[in-house]
Amino acid sequence: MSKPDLTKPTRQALRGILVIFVFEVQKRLRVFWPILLLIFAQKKLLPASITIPMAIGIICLLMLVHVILYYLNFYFYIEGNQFIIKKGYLRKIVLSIPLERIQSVNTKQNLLQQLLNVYSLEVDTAGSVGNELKIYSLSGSYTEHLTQFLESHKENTNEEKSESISDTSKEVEIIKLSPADLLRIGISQNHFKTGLIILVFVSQIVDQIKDLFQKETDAYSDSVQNIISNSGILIFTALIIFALAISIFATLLFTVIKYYDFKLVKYQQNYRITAGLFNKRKVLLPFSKVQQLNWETGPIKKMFGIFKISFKQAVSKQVQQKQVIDAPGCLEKHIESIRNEVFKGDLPDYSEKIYSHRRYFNLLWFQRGLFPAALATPLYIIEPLWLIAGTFWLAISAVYCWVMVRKSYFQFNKSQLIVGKGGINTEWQQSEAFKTQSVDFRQTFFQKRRGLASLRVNNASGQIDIPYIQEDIANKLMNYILYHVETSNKKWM
Amino acid sequence: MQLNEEFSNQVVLPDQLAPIEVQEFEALENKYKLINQIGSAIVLVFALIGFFLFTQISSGNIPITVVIAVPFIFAVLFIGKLAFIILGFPKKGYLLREQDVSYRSGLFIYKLTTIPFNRIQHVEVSQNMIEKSFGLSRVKVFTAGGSVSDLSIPGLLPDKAHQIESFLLSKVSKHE
Repeated sequence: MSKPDLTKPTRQALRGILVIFVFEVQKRLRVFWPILLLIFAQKKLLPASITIPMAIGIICLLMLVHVILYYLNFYFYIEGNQFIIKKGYLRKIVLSIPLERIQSVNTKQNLLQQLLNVYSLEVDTAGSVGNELKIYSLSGSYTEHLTQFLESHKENTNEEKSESISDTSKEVEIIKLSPADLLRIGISQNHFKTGLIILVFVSQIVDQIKDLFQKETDAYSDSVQNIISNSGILIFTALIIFALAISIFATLLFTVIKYYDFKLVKYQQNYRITAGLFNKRKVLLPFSKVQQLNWETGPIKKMFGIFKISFKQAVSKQVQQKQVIDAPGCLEKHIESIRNEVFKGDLPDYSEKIYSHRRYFNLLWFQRGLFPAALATPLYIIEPLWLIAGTFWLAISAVYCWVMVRKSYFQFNKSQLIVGKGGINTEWQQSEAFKTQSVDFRQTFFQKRRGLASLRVNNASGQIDIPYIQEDIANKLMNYILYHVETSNKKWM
Repeated sequence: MQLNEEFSNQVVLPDQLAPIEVQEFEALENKYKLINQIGSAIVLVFALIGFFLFTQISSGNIPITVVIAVPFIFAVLFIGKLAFIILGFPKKGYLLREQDVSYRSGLFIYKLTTIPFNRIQHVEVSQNMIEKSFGLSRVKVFTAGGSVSDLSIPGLLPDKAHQIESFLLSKVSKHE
């Protein structure tokens, strides 16, 4: 295989022109669908001589011409230390990105792209351009060389002289998920969530069908009603088991589609994650870009001894959606090694755990128990039997909130912060003090009377909340974190 | 309760650690209190007009007790809001230190936000319509990572706002 010349202006892979066509059609559809819908619904809007198939044909032909012109005028290459994309036939656009501004290079492959063996390439910069830097159809060998070049260049310009790069040039595989792992992960997911989604989805479909076959369903629902009223509890439990089975199956399916062939690889000072069955994702994640590390486990996950870890990256103002990359099915040792690498081994695990004050319960229970129960007041008036359900809710939520309070704590050493929290699941969040962007000190009227306060530590990927701790500890912690940020010269991103 | 050993060492740290909570905060312009009151008065007027229109449309179907009670409740809420603004005003204030900028507010829920200079992304001076007609400005300080961590100091005279802006910008450029 010959090495492609990166400095020569290159077009996208020709065999991927279908991919470009599909993406362009998608893009137009997203913008113009209301107009198209209107035209096709109100056939009178079309000139008399044109039928709908003809209109579709004309649109497709125009799109095809557009795609061919787009393809012919799309070039990319590397010149000096700039990555350059030239595109457009009516309006010419030249995008040039300084190599050192490139944050990460991600490749993706959907089903069609897999069939044609081409890749999408996305160049991520700290700035705004975002979507402009997408190439839809790149051949495999070219993709590999380009990513490698862009990444290696990034490494050279990011001056991390203190780290010796001599022995780290090799890739180390940290996690690889086998089908058996996927099975375990699928089983340990939150089935209630999938169950609810399916329930909503199915009820929508049932509604639609009902409208279509009014008569038939009437007859059916009569017989169904008969069966239900005759067999009572039995059919009810069977239905529940059936629903549970379906949602477990669905979560398994989702898990396999999303995490098929999951690999987490360490490569110099980066992690690289690849996964996906239909949509293959490949994400590069430099350690320094991680703003916060979250990891969690739940009752079933605990049985298997697995955790899910999420790498939280900075959110740019333009993107707004949170960039979270997660790795399910980690064992305890994986969590340990990832934390040790990202936080340079400086873990506060042995410092004292400071728990949230018991009063935190009042707030939680008000939010989750009392307030929803009070909202249902009209029900109690109409049908007093609902009072039983209301009381039950109050009791259940009280237990749940009590568990939440028991799990809420923080640990701090001179440079790292860990917060533990959770209800049924248990979750931990860790961030480095110097990556903090701002600190909020909050104190309600009730907290003030008890000498308590809450702290919110904001970083570029979100925030970490420390609720209901002693006021003086909150003050100390706030001043200490600020001191750390203000005296730090380290790059936080 | 005690944090770990490094933590309690903070007494010997330099004066950057000057505890923020005992500092004198700079108060906002008194006019800002007036702006807030006028703002809620406008909301009250709109709510009353809305309710009046509603009663006209539903021509006489609404019991007289409701017609009297709703504006009364609006008025009580308005007075409560006024009291809230007046009592809460002295709690609002900002503080510039050598290394960071802070803003605090809150009568029932006290909130103090601090942004270190070396984490500021950009600074902006802005005015909305009411603020403009009263000759007041606000300084907005933006950090990386969404709006949660941002800070906004309202109720400043335009000169003061620009002074603060240029002071913050000089600090930011020093850190670049």
